[in-house]
Amino acid sequence: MKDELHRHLDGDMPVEELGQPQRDEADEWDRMVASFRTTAPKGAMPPWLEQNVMSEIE
Amino acid sequence: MERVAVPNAGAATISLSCSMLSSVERTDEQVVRDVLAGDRDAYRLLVRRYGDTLHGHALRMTGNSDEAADLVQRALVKGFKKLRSCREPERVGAWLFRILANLCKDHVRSARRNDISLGRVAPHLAGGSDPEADAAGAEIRSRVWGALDALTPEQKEAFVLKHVEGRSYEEIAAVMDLSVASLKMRVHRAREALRGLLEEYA
Repeated sequence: MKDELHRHLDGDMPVEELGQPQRDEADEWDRMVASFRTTAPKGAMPPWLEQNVMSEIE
Repeated sequence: MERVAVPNAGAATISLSCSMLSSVERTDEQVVRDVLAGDRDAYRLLVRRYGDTLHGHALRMTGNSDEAADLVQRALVKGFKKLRSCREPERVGAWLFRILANLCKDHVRSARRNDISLGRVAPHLAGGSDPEADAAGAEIRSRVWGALDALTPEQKEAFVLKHVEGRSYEEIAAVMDLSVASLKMRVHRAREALRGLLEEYA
């Protein structure tokens, strides 16, 4: 990966400054990051955990 | 019990115990001070304020809800025991996050030694009502999270914080006690490694 692409993915370089091959690669990265975000495990802390912590520190 | 006067709508005032004041009314710094002064129940406010954030990160690092809950509990108990060493009480949330993040990295190292892969564990976490979509989603999850699981714990943490949780470099660097330049290098290496791994799996 070229430094310019990293800089773009870091938010330090606008996509317009990339050449076409790197724009295509940036698009691929956007899709991959989106797949990480949409498939990431999510969930609030279970309600019993607060009581467990409070019991343990008593 | 300490009593605090709270201005009422009229000229009169009402008194509430510290632990009855809502989280909105007490800053982190005040809560830390109260806990250190002996009001253990005040720690509950920090658990409520930061529990979900800590749990979300632990879940993304481990891919297992039981392990995530165990890590969060250990982090919060450790945080209570070491609270006096928190040098910036106004940033106690970041301090607790750092404790959890270190526990998560240790856990990832240990899980790797025991050959437990997030790519195999994660698929059952987010099932829906459409079996076909679930199967396709499970395959994607298995592939992308399996690749992430092959990174070093530090690279995985950096990538998760930056790209999955969407935090800024400045925020991550402050929490992880790293320079932004070092952190960027870590994320760059994670990207390079991931690209190679995903090409391999394709």
